[in-house]
Amino acid sequence: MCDSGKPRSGGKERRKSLRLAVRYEYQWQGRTYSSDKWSRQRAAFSDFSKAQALADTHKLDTKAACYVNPASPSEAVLQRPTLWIGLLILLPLVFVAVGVIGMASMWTKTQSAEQGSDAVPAGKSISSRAGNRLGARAGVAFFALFFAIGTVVFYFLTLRPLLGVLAAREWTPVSCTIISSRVQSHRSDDGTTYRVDILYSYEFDGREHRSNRYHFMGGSSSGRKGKSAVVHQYPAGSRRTCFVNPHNHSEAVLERGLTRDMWFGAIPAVFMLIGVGGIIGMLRKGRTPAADVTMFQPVPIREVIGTKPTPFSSPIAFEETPGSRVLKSSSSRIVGVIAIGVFAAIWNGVIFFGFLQGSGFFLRGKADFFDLFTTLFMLPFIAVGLALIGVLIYQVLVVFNPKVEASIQPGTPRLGGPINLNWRLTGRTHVLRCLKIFLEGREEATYRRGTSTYTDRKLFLKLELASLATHAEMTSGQATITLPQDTVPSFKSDNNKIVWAIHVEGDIDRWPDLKEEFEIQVLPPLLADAA
Amino acid sequence: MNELRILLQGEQKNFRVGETVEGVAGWRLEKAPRSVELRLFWFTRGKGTEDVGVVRKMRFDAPQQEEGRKFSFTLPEEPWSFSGQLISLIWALELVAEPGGHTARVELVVSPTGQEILLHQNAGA
Repeated sequence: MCDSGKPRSGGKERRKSLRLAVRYEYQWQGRTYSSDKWSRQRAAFSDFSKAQALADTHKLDTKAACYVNPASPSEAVLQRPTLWIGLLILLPLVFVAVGVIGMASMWTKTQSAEQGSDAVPAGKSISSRAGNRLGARAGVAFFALFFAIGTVVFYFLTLRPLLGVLAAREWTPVSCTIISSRVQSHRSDDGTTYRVDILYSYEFDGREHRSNRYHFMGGSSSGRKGKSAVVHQYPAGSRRTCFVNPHNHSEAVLERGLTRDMWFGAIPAVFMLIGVGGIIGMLRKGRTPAADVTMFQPVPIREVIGTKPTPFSSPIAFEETPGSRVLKSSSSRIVGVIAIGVFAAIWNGVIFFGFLQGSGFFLRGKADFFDLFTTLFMLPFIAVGLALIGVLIYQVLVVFNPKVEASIQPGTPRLGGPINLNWRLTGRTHVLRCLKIFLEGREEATYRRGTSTYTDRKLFLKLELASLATHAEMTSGQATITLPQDTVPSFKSDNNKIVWAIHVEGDIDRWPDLKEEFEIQVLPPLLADAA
Repeated sequence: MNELRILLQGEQKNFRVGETVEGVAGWRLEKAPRSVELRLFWFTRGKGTEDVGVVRKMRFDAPQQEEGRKFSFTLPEEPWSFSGQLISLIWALELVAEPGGHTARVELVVSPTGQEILLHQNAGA
């Protein structure tokens, strides 16, 4: 039997959160006990309406069920912890599962790479491995987790507040009195976050209610300034309009429209998009190439039941470009600068702000033993950071190298056929001492060792197209060469490639040399030519 | 004793692109298999992680415990059999019986000349 239920706060300004105060009596095996425990955990609330709604369910002198500890009957609670909390235990297990699948995938791939096909036992199928990749499935699981987390966060951060905004359009405007108004701060290891905490009272249906909901975005976030500005608009004692849910009078809000912080919803939406994109990409990668059944003839001595045809598609397809084709460089200089710049900034930022800034060298101007030890430990990482800055400077200088524009005719040359190259150099061409242009064919094999992926390259053909030393010759020109017939066309699979490329190399004094690669697609000769 | 075998017509193993590979797939198994499939595929061998591409397959419906069936595949124009210092590309026919994953495999050479292309030897690099 409960005697009361009432949300209490610990003072106007010092109030951290709302607490549900309750006291009730109960009978156990003929004896009467009393308890003031709502649940095993401390019953604290940040939303006044929720606390009030809960208090309203246990009014003074009403009966309710409580749960008694049979081993210690003086212990009782009104609310048992929900078993749904137990599901949270499963959340880390999902990460463990993804990790295990990922490691299994890497182990399988590593074995495959290390053993090669030579080590395949006679009784083991090779063709069954096509399109049946554990890695692809692990990838799908990983991106599905991305999507699931994004969806859950999107619901709480965006969808639920938006639904609240939509519903509140029908809520009733009521005059309310601001009781207290402040910016509430929460300190944690990750820093301090803030939330608008305005407590107000209003009358609805002849009864006084209280609420501290300002808008539909819950939780707290960084940035005190904006929240202080909101608080100043609602000084204690002033009268404002709040909006009350006509179906639940304890639910009210001061700002029922969209607010700027709802843009945070874009963050989980990005997670969701990455998840969906990743799943689609992984499913495409893991798809079994379609196969075909050709003519089937029965063996005379046996009866043949039949076959099932399936569609055919070639796993490798390079499209033919009959006209000339403007070549695109294999790497972008600007993208290179940005990529290395971002990586160098993150690396050096983490080292400086994470370790060095807190060191006694910076804080007190002198170091103790611990500072010396950590600085010594960090030296290799500092060296890598400095090397990254060096690479960044090199990449920035490369941006100012002459630019190469090149085109080939035909756009997709065939083995045994001619390839006509046109080039033009723009920018600081006067700095070049000499220029060489090559046609290269190379093997590219990608493999795993442990958790790292490596790609080895081996040149099998290098033909010189041009070697120039005068400025006029270097600036623009053309060269023709016939591709050999006794080699292989371009080939591309997941881990193995035959790459054909045109290389432009120029020497520059006291400056990074000009090195540009243009990948081209080389097709097999036409059947008549090959014959 | 489970036995699977692929017999190629004339014991030919070198083919030009677009040619037809013919033969007989036979099996003698302890139990009647649920499925028997003949696959024409290529795979890579060498330093890189193995890639496999099944190009065509033939499924033998309602296979008996002991049987032999003729097959015929037209070879595609690409990719060609080649061997380099990092990668080799090999064509093969594989007969797979389920359950049990019993397998027989015959390696082929497929190129415009019918000979494996040796990248570094031919190019002289």
